[in-house]
Amino acid sequence: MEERGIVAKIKGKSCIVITPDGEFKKVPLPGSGLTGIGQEITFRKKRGVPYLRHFMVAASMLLVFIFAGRFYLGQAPEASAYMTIDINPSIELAVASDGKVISGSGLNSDGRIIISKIKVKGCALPEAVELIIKQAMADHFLSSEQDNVVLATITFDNGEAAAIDLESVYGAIRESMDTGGLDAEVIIKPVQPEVRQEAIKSGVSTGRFLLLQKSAEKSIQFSGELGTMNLGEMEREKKMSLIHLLQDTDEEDATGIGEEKKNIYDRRGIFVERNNTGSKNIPGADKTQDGKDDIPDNRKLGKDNGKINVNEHDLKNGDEEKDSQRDNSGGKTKDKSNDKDERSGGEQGRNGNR
Amino acid sequence: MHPVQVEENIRKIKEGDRLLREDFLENNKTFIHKIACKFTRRLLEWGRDDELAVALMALDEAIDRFRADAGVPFPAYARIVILSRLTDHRRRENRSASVEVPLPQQGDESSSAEFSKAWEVYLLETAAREREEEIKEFAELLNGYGVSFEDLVKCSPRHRDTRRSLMLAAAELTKRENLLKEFRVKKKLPLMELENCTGISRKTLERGRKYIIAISLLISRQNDFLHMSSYLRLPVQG
Repeated sequence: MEERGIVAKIKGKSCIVITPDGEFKKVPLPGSGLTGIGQEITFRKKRGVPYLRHFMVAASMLLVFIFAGRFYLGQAPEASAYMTIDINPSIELAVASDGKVISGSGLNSDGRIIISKIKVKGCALPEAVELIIKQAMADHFLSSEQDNVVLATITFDNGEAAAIDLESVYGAIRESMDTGGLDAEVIIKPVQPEVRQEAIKSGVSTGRFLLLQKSAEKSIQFSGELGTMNLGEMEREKKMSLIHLLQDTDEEDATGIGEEKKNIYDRRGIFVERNNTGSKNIPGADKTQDGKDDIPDNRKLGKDNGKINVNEHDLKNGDEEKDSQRDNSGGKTKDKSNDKDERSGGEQGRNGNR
Repeated sequence: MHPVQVEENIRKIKEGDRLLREDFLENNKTFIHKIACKFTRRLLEWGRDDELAVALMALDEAIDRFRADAGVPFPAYARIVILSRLTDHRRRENRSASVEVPLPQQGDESSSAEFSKAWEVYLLETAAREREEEIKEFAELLNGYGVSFEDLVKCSPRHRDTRRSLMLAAAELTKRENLLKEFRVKKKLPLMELENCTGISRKTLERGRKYIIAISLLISRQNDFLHMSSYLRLPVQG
């Protein structure tokens, strides 16, 4: 509707008019021609709800809040721990304090493929891990033809040990491997939150970042991209075991296996080598490792018994297996048999403690 | 000279109401007097000064020449005509002006289309200039009361009825000499009295305070703000 009014004041692009009805109004200045004070102009009456703009603002704010609220609620149990799994695909799982997976994300392209195929949100961590391993097997990231390495890291956000026990994670990995008829080197290592931060910064998974760090310490050069390489291939290329690489870095873990089992366990993680060391890489790696004098005994212990690690928990179903393995490896080298004795002694001690 | 009444009266006079014409001229003698005094810058007296007679004739002429569709309210129109005539008169008196610029005389308008066109242009230009000056003067006046146009935009009531009642309150204020005087001196509205005599709630009055100020100023000084007060459909006074 057209309205008329006398221009009373001009201010920038708008002017104040007085309408015949006695209303003072601020309206946009008509673009055509020169409009002066005192001139009568016609202008369009504003249509629609007068407070439409306010409504719109309010509504959009409301929407933002609703969505934000929803998002927030979804995240309400805040992640207390992060687990990364590296096979070749790298996956990170955010875990709540109750052990449930909040979210999973792929850290490289293969990881994204895997995570897009499965649903880990809301699962308990072991279940989620199992799902991932199974999917990896289905996608032939893990197969019997190659040296399988599963590297998992776990970061507790606030330093406290949450309701996640590595053992059950290990169990989940092992179980799904067994059902698929595969064997793999399994490494589960707790890491400091700072390491994770660093890893995020450099854009690789925590596990790979850790590898990078350790290898740098040992001045081992990795050819190719650490972020994308299959860990098994990497191992083969370097003729070394990732377990060794990662395991022998803690310093104060040499003693107290029996007494401070829990502590050490938390600190060290689980290191399990492949059972069927079909390739010569691992023994080779062992050799290099053994050659070093400054390595504490118990570390070697962890390595030479195919499946076991020094500070590993008693895997409930694994006792028999362990024994047989011990027998297998017993004859390999001299010093290894020594180690074995020592180790079994330690085990006894532990049993005694229990 | 109230705008709404005026236009109605002019229409009737033009239709041939002789009596009303007499009445109208008689009633507007003060209006003429003011304009003429302002023009000559001295106090004129009826029956003594020619200027008043000239102005009265000019008003009579303005009635005939006035066209409502020109976009200029009658009082403003009349003033332009009166001032033109007074100018003519002064020139004739002084004999300083060698060329007269007379308005086209009644009845011979048809003789010179060009002339009437020029007059039209002159009229509109003058009216526009006057309007501008008026508004500026009004703004200054408002400023004296601490009111700006921006304030009026903010507080002028959206609803027509509310505006109407505030206008009535303003009219009421101007009608009462004592209140108007108080208002002009203190530059503050006598809200209490207004509330009593209009029956409009204090809250409404308070909210439209600045609006009432503006409208009462406009009404009380109608003769200075001919264009604006005619343009606004102010409530009938008295």
